[in-house]
Parts: sequence; C-alpha cells; structure tokens
Amino acid sequence: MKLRAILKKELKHYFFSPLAYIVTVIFLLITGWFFANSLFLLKEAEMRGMLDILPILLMFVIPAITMRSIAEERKMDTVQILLTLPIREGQIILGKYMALLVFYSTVLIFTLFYPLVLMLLGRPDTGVILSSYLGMFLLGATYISIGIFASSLTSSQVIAFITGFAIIFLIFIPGKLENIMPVKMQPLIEGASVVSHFENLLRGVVSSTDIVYFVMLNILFLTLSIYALREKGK
Amino acid sequence: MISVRSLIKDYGEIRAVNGISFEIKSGEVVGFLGPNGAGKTTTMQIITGYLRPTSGEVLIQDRDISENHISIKNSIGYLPENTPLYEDLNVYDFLDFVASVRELNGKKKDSIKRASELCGISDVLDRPIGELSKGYRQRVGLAQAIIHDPPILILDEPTTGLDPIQIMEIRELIKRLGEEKTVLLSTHILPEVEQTCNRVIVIHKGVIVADSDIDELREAISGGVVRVEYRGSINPDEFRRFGKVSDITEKDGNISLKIVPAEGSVDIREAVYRFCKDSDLVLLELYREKRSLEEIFRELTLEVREVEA
Repeated sequence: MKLRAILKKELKHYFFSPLAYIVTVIFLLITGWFFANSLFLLKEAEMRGMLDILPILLMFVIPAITMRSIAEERKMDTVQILLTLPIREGQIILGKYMALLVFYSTVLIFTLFYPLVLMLLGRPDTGVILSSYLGMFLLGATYISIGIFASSLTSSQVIAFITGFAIIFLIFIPGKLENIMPVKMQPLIEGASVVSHFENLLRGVVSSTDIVYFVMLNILFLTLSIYALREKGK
Repeated sequence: MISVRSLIKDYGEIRAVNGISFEIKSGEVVGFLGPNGAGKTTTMQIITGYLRPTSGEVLIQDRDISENHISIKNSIGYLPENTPLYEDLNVYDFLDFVASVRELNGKKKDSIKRASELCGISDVLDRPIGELSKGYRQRVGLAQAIIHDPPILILDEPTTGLDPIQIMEIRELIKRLGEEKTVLLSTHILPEVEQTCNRVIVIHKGVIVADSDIDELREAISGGVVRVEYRGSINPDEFRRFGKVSDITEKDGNISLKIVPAEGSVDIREAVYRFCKDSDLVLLELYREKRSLEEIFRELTLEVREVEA
C-alpha cells in the first residue's frame, strides 16, 4: 500500500514531466537512426547497430531521467514531508526505483517497432531478440539504480547527473580497455565490466552469471541509496 | 504529550540547539518563539523524527522517538517551514498520496474531504499545487498535516509570507485546531503567539530563555513598573521610597514620572495611592505599564547577548 502510493506519485511526476518526454524522443531518434543504419547500409536483419551503442547512449539518457528522483525532493524540501511520514526509507527508494523501471519499460515497448520491422523483412533469431531485451532491461535497471544513488547524495540535479554518469562510466570503461591490459587481468576486467555481461545477452547467451551480476549491482546501489537517504546530510 | 530532554544538535562545528528541555502537556497550544537561526526549526525537525539529535531524547506520548519511528509518526502532523509541496501534483492527488502512505485506506475519501473542508480548500482540489496562491498552499500544507487527525500538530512558521488577511485566516484555523489538539507552533512574529497560544517558549541561540504562560511572562518581566501623574507641591524625589524614579516631566504644573519598584514585580499602586492621599496630592493618573511581548522578547534576547559579551 505504502509502496504503491510512492509508485503512483512517482509515475505522475515522470509521465507529466516534459523532460522525460524530451529524453524519450531523443532516445528513440538515436536508436532509430542506428537501427536504420545497420538495416539499410549493411543489409542485416539485426538490431546490433542499435544495441551496440545502447550502453553509451543510456549512460546519458538514464542519469537525465533519474537525476531528479531524490535531489529534487531535497531541493524542494519535500523530503521533510516524505521522511516524517510513517514509511521506511527502503520503501521510498524501492517505490522510486519501480516507477523508473515502469517508465523505462514503457520506452522499451516503443523500441519493439525495430524487431517488428525485422520480422517483416527477414527471419531474425527470436531467441536473440528476447535475450537482447532481457539485456536491455537489466542494463537499464542497473543504470537506474546507479542514477538513484547519485541523486540520493545531493540536492542538485546537475551534480546528480554528473555523478551518475561518472559511476556508470566506471563500470562501463573496463570492457573497452580489456585488450590493452595484461592477459592475466583480462578475465577480471571482463567480469567487472557491464559491457561484457550485456554482450553475452546480446549474443543470445542467457547465463546465470550475467543475471546475477546485474541483480547484485542493483541491490548494491539501492542499498547505498537507502543509507544516503537516511543520513539526510543536511 | 511531548517531552524534550537536554536536546543537543550540532551541525559540524556549529551547535544549533544547546541542551533544550521542555514538556508540553495534552491540549496546550505552545508558541515557539525566537529570532531566525535560534534553533526552532532544528528542534521541530528532531521532534518530528526528520533529524536525529546529537544527544538528548524526545518522548512523544511516553515513547522515545529513537526507538519506534513509524507508529510515533502517526500521532504527529507536521507542517515544515516554507510549506514544501509537490508542485506538479494537483491538490487531491497530493492529499491522496499522504493519506495512502498513512494507510487510511477505507477512510481515505472521508479524511481528504474532512481535512479539505476544515482548511477551506475544497474548491481547489483539482488544481495543480504549483498554481496556487501562498495562502492556499499554506492551507494545503495544513490539510496534509491534519489528514490523519493526529493528536499533535507541529507547525513551523505557518504564517510566514502571507498577506494580513491570509494571516488572520490561518491563525483562526490554528486556533480552531488548537481546541482539540496539542499544538507546537514556531514563529518570529510576536502578535501571533499572543493571539493563538496560551504558552510561550522563547528560544535564542539554541537555549531556552523563557518558558511560561503568556500572561505570566508579561507580568514577570514588566516588573511592576508604575506610571504616576499628579499635581501638587511635593518633590518628585519623594517617590524614591517606592523604587527607582525616572522619566520626570512637568507640564502646566502636572508632574509625571515612572517608578521601577526595588523588589521586582511587587504591586506598588496601592502604596503610591495612599502616599498621594496622605500628602494631599491630586492624583491624575496611576497605572502599571503593560509592555508588548515585542519589548519583552527584545529584552530577553538582548540579555543573552549581553551575557555572552
């Protein structure tokens, strides 16, 4: 009941906020462009063109949506109302997280247009598409939990955005540095990077290691957010 | 009802609240008075469970707030300073949110109706909060605080930034709420305390400098200063027998002066009257000076400043 109240309130914020719509449109335009690119130029009935840029694109898009979640409550002082209501910090964070998941999933539903086009034009591998969507969801959810954590640290949305971006960058970049690292360290870096786990799913490989990796990161950052919210930092 | 014991709150190096203790009994309407930065808001934020104290304890209905936050929070309605509200929600959705988190469930609709009628916001329920005037915002803030009909109301500067008519309306509302609830309201405006409260706690630089009934406070600090105006052939210095004489003026043979009794607030009017009668003076005026809380307040906070210096 309490969780639902938070969820409902947050959804109203997101679905009535122009920022969320602007960000969604930009997201769809960019993914659409990369999708069309690989489809028409490379003549491949695949979503890879769009999926490859997703970890980078979401690095900007998700902090832009999550930056307000707690920073705005602090800025407007509504956090005083929220924290004096009979509700646990954990329920607040979880409600906000779930609202963002709903919002992100809604955006993902719009991208279903791409696989539909593929099905009309060729015979794509449905298994790969399904696991890719699982990957997109898990990747987004992880970024969202990081974004909420960044937002819980400050009352400034700008700082929340930059912090969120920086943390995501830190878990993203090892995957790109893999090849210049000593051979011994490569498995370690592969295990730490969000990109390698995401790419496993894009290849259609659904392994528990990858899923556990994403779930653990979500739990970690949500827990940190709860502590940050509790410590108020005023 | 509310009991605060040796409360201390530090913000880094700065001590905002320095060992405050007071008790508020059921049904009291208490004004928490002090200049800006005195520690009023901090104290209220601790009582409502928003901040944790550095040391000291707060009991709400005999339960320590540090032990069980959730159930205690249900007995308090809180209007934070500057009335923070969710600007992009409409009034009904906002009250619905608060009612849902407070788990009013089946009674939700009735509670929203009752609170909005009491606060006079029934006709703006479908308006976005961001579009409301300050007076209405304040009412929405109050409605939010009373939606679960709590026995205790904590109101932080409920009339700041309102126009005179709105101020009167909000004070009326607080008075009405005070008939059945225990209210702690903070303000730096003195007439507010005089009009709405029956007890005042004056706080300055994190310490309580006065805590009493408003009348008592006025009495205690006025110190029984008496003004006398008379006509007659006696030297004003004769009045020194009652205390310190000052402010002596003469106009058309009428002499007026002020007596500050030597022994604090002793009532010397009768003695002055008998003296005038015995000395065959024409007594034109004799009254005890009533000072506004404004002066008392200035005096109280000034004393602290002097002590520090």
